[in-house]
Amino acid sequence: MTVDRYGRRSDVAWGWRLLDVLIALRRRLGVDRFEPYRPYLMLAPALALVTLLAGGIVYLVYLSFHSFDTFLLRQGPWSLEQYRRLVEPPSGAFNLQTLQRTLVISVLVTVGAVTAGLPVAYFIVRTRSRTMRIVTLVLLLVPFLMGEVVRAFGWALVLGSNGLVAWVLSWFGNDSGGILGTPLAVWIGMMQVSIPLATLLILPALTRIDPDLERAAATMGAPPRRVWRHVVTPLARPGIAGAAAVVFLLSVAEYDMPAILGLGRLPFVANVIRSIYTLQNNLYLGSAFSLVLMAISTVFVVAAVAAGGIRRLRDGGGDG
Amino acid sequence: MTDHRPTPRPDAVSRRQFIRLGTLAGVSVPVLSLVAAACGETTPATTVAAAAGDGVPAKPDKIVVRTWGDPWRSTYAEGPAASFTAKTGIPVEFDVTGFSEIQAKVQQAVAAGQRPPVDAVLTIEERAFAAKAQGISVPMDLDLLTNASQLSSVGLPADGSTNYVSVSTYSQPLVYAPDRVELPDDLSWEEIWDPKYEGRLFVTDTPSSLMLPVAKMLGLDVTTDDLTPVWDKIAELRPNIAALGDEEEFLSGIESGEFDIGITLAATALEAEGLAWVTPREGSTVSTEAFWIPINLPPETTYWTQVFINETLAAENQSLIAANLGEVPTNLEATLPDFMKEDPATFPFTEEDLAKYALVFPVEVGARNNDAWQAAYTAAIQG
Amino acid sequence: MGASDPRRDAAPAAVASDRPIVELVGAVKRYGEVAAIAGVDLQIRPRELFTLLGPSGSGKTTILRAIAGLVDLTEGRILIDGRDMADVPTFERNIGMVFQSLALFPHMSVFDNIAFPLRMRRRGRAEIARRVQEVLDMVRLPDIGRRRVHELSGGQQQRVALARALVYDPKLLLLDEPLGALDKRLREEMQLELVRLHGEIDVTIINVTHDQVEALMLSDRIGVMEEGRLVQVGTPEEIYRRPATRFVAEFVGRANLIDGVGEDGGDRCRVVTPSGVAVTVADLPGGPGAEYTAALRAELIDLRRPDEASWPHRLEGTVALRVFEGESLYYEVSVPGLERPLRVASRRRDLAVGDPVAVEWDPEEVAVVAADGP
Repeated sequence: MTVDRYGRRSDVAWGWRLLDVLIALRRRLGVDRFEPYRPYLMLAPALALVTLLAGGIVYLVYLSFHSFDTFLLRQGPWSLEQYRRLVEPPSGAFNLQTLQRTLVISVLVTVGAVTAGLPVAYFIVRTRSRTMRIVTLVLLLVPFLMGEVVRAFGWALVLGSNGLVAWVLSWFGNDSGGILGTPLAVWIGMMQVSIPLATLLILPALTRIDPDLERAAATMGAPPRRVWRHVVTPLARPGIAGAAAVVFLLSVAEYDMPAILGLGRLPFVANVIRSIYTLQNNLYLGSAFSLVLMAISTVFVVAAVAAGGIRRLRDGGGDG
Repeated sequence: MTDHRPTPRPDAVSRRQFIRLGTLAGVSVPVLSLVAAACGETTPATTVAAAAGDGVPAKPDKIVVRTWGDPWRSTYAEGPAASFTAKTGIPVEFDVTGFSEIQAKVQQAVAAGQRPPVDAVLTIEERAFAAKAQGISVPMDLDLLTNASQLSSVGLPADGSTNYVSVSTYSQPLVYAPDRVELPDDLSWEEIWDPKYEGRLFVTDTPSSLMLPVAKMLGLDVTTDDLTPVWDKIAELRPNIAALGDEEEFLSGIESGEFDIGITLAATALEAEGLAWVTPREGSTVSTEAFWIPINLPPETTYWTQVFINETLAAENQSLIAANLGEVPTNLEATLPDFMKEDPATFPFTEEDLAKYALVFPVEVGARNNDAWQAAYTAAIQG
Repeated sequence: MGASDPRRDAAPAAVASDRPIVELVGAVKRYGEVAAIAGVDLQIRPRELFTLLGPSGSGKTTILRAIAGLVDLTEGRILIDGRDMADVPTFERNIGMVFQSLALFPHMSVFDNIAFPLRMRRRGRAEIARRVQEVLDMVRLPDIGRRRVHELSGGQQQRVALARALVYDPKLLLLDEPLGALDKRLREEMQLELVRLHGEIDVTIINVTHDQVEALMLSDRIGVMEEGRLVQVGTPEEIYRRPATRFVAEFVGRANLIDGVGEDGGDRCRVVTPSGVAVTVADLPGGPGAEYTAALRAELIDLRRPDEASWPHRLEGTVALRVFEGESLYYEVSVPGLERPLRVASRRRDLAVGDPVAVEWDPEEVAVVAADGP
């Protein structure tokens, strides 16, 4: 290694020379001309993705309003046939029931995940111990390291006839053999990722809360329960609303947990759509159901965000 | 869960997973048909039979055959492919693309006026029938299928066409864990409606396994009658159902004790230790696996592919299929393994057994009504 | 409600004024190896405005938080109204506190912010409305109840924070450098406001600041903190004129510190530096021969031309720096034998850089601190 006349080691100097070349190249190419457009250029991938998604939805809408021969795989004319099939016998009652199950369990998962995630997020933000913070965060991420199917089968082992839950139940004289195939099993399976997800989504909102606000509330006579209710929760509300929206949307679209932990008997809308796509070979009917689900969950989420994010705290004298 | 990779892997893509393979194909097929519709009529019907008259055409470099993964691929390689190559010198390659996907790919190639990716497709009969209706398969020349004369009544299409030929059949009896449940020797399908089986039953997520036995019980003909009573009867089975799914889910569930009895393929029972099976007196649903040949192939390829398919129908190769796959051969000259001989109700082979036990799936009505039947069944069983 | 009723704690406040309202006994707070409070004994008298003064990190805020119950002591006790606070949580201490960040609730209106402590005490709707209006009048912001916190100016926010801490009539008000973030004019305005409020209402105030001007201006008494210790407690004048340590002398006011040995120079005592510069002082607390620091306050010394000299207690040098400061001028004077120039605040405007001058002082005004502390 040599040292040049400026006292730079040659290996370092080479790095600088490379940069000089790159800068010259950049000038030569006139990259700077595009400088004013850079913010837009950086948006391009996102725009492309959004366009693609929107295009997909438009395509689904197009499909859903056509009749379709599933035997010859031929598209028919514009028609409300698919939507009619969704609500008419023999599938109408079943589809409605599936939709209800999907929404009810998703709401329960959302409520459960946010309720459990909020204190965990609070602990992470407020704990003095760096180690505890890191350990908790890592534990939260662990479920994401496994595939959904792996997690589902893991729970199937725990909740199944030869599993831990069945064993514990048998102590209490209950030999029903586990809870696999029940809504509770599906709920539990879904909670495993929903709680960490809700926690991680609430975290930034809690980080922004000045801890002095809680101290101030305490000096003004608020016991911890009321600090939580009147200060932390309302200030975390945007984060809670966001977390709830994301968890709810993911829950509504859930496939593996109902399929595996519900033993096929507790289908969510996604399971029925899959069955329509692959067993009935009917993309058109499936599109219609997808769009109905999308519309309903959009209404839910808009309502939740409106209620959670925009509503002001009505801080009455009472304490609920 | 959904896997439709075209590359072979050791235990890949069995028919047991076939439903799981369908997702992408199911999505792409209608798209293609849209394209096809947009491009106008695209069914250049090729007549192949002509080739036979003017002597033997030139030999292609190879022929490509789509099957499921092992044990199908290995069995077909060991039997018919080996004997075909020995006789003709033409090597046989296998392609284990998912069966829904391959149908879509052939359609796509045909719509684009290109040569399809494979020369012969092994699939379930319903799909082979659909391929004919979709105009993507060629009629075969019975003069080349010399072994077809030895086939049972389920060998060639019931509609008299020659667009596909069935190589083997499989039935869907009751499979159970004899250490946990005792089933009478002579039983009716009605047995599984008994409340003592509450929460102990597995059923398939597709209708054919149950609807034919139920129609038989109720004295209905699925090809002509209103099936509402069938679906109602199936709905009454719900309290007994612990789970539903495919063969994989049956095997994992019965091993872990989630249920004790299931309706599934007879061959599935052979895959696990300690399972027994029984076909109730009404018989069980029998379906077939069949070969068909895509259109748009060079005439010589079409010719020699028929020679290969004829080889799959040869008695010695059919015996191998029976032994390896646990499926009943369609060639009446084939030799059955002992477990098949002992249980003609579950493995109906002779015309007599077929007439007595088999509820042969009515492929044309079934294919045409698949969408409606599946929807009605799903609602009945999962509602 | 029982023990959690804060009003109960307020009852004994009316007793004799000689008992301290707040008392720290051997207070120690350690974070790991670091002692934020390293053994503090302190008594706060009823009705006084007491300032804890010190640089950042000296432990003053920790003491305040310990009094509020926001920090648990490692050792020692805190008594409020004679009652040990060890088992009394913050929300039962009935203390008003204004935070450096003000800690106004951003999701509430001004009214709701100020009503918060009353709602925590489950006061009636009418009483809350009346009290909030009273305190808003008191801080001279009568018409802003409906506004949101972020719509207020910095000064208005200060007043709202103060109003919120006073609305429930706490006997003790803790101020954690709430004025620190304000610009100078607003800060002075608020300081005067505090003095006015303190005169109007019956409250003991403990103020924390690093601003010695604020401390001198507001306080009845000041406690100066250094590295977790309380180094001096006294009236502003005592702190200013009789600093107990070199640190206090340096921290409070603008002082020229001159280190040397005490000598008895006949009628006057002197502190003589190793280079021979002698500073006349009134008194040597530890007698001659010891090491001392003489603190010559910039404001308490004056400049003369050498020929105008009217006083024998002086040092001669030349003007090295002249800066206009408005009401006075700031000079630095180089004196032979002193490492650092003397800093002088003077009204004289006729001296230029390079001019020979004499720096004069009244020995009574020179603080003398023994080098090893008090």
